Amino acid sequence: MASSSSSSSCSSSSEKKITLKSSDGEALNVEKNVALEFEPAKGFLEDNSEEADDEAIVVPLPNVSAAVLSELIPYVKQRLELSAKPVQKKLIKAFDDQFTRHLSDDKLGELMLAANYLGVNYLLDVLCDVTADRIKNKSVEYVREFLGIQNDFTPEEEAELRAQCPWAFEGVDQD
Amino acid sequence: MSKSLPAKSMLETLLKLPVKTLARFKCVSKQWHSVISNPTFVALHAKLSESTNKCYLVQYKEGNYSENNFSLCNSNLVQFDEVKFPINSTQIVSSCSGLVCLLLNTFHSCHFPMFVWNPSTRKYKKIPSHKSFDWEKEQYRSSATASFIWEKEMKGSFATFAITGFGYDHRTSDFKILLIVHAREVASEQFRREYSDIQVYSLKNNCWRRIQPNVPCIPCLSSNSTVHLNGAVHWMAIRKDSDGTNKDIIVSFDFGDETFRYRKLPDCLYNTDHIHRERSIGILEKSIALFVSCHSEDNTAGLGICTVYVMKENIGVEHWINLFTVDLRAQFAWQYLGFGANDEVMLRNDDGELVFCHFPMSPRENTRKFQVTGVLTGKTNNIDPLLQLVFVWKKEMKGSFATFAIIGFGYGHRTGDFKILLTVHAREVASEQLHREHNEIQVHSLKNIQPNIPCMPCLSSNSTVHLSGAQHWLAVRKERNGTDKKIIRSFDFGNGTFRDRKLPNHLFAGYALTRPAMPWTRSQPPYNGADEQKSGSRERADTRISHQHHLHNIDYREISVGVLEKSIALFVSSHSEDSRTGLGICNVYVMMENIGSVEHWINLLTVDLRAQFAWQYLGFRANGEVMLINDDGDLVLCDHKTQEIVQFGSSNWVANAVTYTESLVSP
Repeated sequence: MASSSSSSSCSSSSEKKITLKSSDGEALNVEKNVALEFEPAKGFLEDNSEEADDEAIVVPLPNVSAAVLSELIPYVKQRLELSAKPVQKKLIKAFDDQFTRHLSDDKLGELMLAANYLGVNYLLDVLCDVTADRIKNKSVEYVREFLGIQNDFTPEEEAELRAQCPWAFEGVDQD
Repeated sequence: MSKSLPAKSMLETLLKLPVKTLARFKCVSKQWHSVISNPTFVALHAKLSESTNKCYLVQYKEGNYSENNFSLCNSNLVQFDEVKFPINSTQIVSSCSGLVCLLLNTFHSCHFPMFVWNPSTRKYKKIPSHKSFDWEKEQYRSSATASFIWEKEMKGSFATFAITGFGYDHRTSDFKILLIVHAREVASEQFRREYSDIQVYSLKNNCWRRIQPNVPCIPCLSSNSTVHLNGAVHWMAIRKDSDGTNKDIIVSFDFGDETFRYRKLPDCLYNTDHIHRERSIGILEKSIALFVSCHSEDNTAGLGICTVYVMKENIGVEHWINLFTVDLRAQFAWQYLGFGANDEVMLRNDDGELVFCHFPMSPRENTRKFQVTGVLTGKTNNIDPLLQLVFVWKKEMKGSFATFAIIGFGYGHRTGDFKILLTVHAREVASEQLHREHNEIQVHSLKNIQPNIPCMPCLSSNSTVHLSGAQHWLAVRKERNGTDKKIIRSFDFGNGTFRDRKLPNHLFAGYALTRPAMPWTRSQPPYNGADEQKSGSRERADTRISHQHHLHNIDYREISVGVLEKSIALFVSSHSEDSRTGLGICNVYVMMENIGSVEHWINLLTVDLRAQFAWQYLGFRANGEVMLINDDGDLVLCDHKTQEIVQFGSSNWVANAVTYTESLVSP
């Protein structure tokens, strides 16, 4: 969905630059087709389409920091280039893997929030995969810590739940 | 990651987790517990798992036949997860959306206890008993022709055969089980009453419902393995054609509108020349698929060509596509188990190993290459799959009769078709004095039915082996002097005659032919059983020697018949009761044919099983090794050529395997 809309506008607007303003006030210049991948930016641009000079537009993104944006922009740019070509899914997957492999857990969370806010669904999907993979073999305690979830079970309730499926607690990774 | 995730991403992440993790994460918080238990989440997870999480459910049998264990392994065959089903002696009917339908093997011909089990969540449910079959009422009468397995004993003498299928009905969003039981009277030649009963079970309503067949000829059953696709159960069947011949077809039962549908096989499968084709039905690329293996009759090359056909629909018209043909490299006895994930074919090879073959699609080349993608090793199964298919016999009749049956399956070269031999011997056990005995022998040909072969008693073991068109088994014959003597009885499928063969003479002597303790010794030159005088003296000489060294009273001999080096072979283990020595000598004899038709026994090898006298014979392997199970339940292979004994850590052997996708769906 995102790739098809971008590829059509790709040729005409690839040179045009848009300025994005991060939550910490930094301004980042990006190609218009990259900016269009971000839902809030796309909406903003459509609302201000009568503006003659794209260069003059500054899109505020109050929920994303400059640090996260500077990670996201190159990713989206390369992803767009990849999906414009008739490349194999394998290549895209390899690219996604390379991008996510070295992400710290904190960065992963930040990117997820940003991708969610910006509506970059393909990235969100990849990040969910990565999160799932990271917590797959972890203990309940680790996951609560990892995702900042409050345990609202009483010790008795939790013990009872655990007793229902003891096999699920075997072979869990060390925290 | 300290910040909490957006709800949508949280759900997405949870959907990607395996069942075991989700079961554990129910403890994370109340919110997670309710999300993971939510039926909508369960359904979404099952759907996603179907496309991404293909795995296998492999059924292993342990030393004790009734016990079985299952193992879940992912499609790469690397990660194994042992799962136990708390009830022994079950067989897989089918798997669908994470649920597996299991049928309990009973010794009862009219009762089919079933379970629906989710191996991922370990939950199972016992399916309530189906409605009882009353064959006296004729409303279930049909004109079906082929029933292929006999199970004597009902009221009167009926043979029953059953089809069980398991699937998902999208219309009512319900899991359903199909049970068709077909009964045919076997007593009289002229008048054969036939009945069939069709019942459908709904998991939602938790009850069985009888279905009145909407088509006159329903049963046509030929195989009890069913596959499930798009809310319908499909199986191979035989139907009598207008010209009187039996034709193989595919029968489907749609759980949605409860109708039957018949499909022809690819046309080329109906011309049978000198090639026999074994057909199995499966699901491949979301279509009905046929696995056909062709065995040429002259087995000089041991040819095994396998072809896979897929049924595709083209503007409302279905037609078969020859998807690929593969040469199984002379492994002609490989048995089809099913189609796996990633378009692989699951086969069981001669050694009982599970072999996964992949036929990579290459658009540029016309041929597909044969590639074995994985082998589950160390697992063997010497049970003839077709014997497993036969429901086990019931042990009594009216009055107090003990019945004993021999079931054999083989190829009659003369008539060029496959036949099933069934001999039943019933003996009254009530009174000491009067033993009424009754024998019945039937041969069922896959081509045409021809019963009635004169009676022939004496059965002793229910394991039969097949060699060059004849079935062989150990039997006990009453001699003129009133003693019981063990013999080998053969039934030739080609001309319908029985033949008796003597066992090696010295097996009837009171002592063993033993040798000084050598773990693995080949015996002295062959002893000729055909030339009785000469061999008799040889044997005396032999036993005299052993007499000097070891004199053991042989109290018990276990004799098993097998096929080794294309000859009838005997595995004889002699156990002395004198437990100080705990002697266990095993001999392997092979029957050789000399110029003409003089047959004699050759003592191929003698093994001192080092006091492991409880070792159990399993069978001969294709390469001539003897398969044994030792006291610890390990599989032991003895090779008589290299004189090596190889021990496997595991005694499990693959009994069955199905493609399985894990889910949280509760049974």
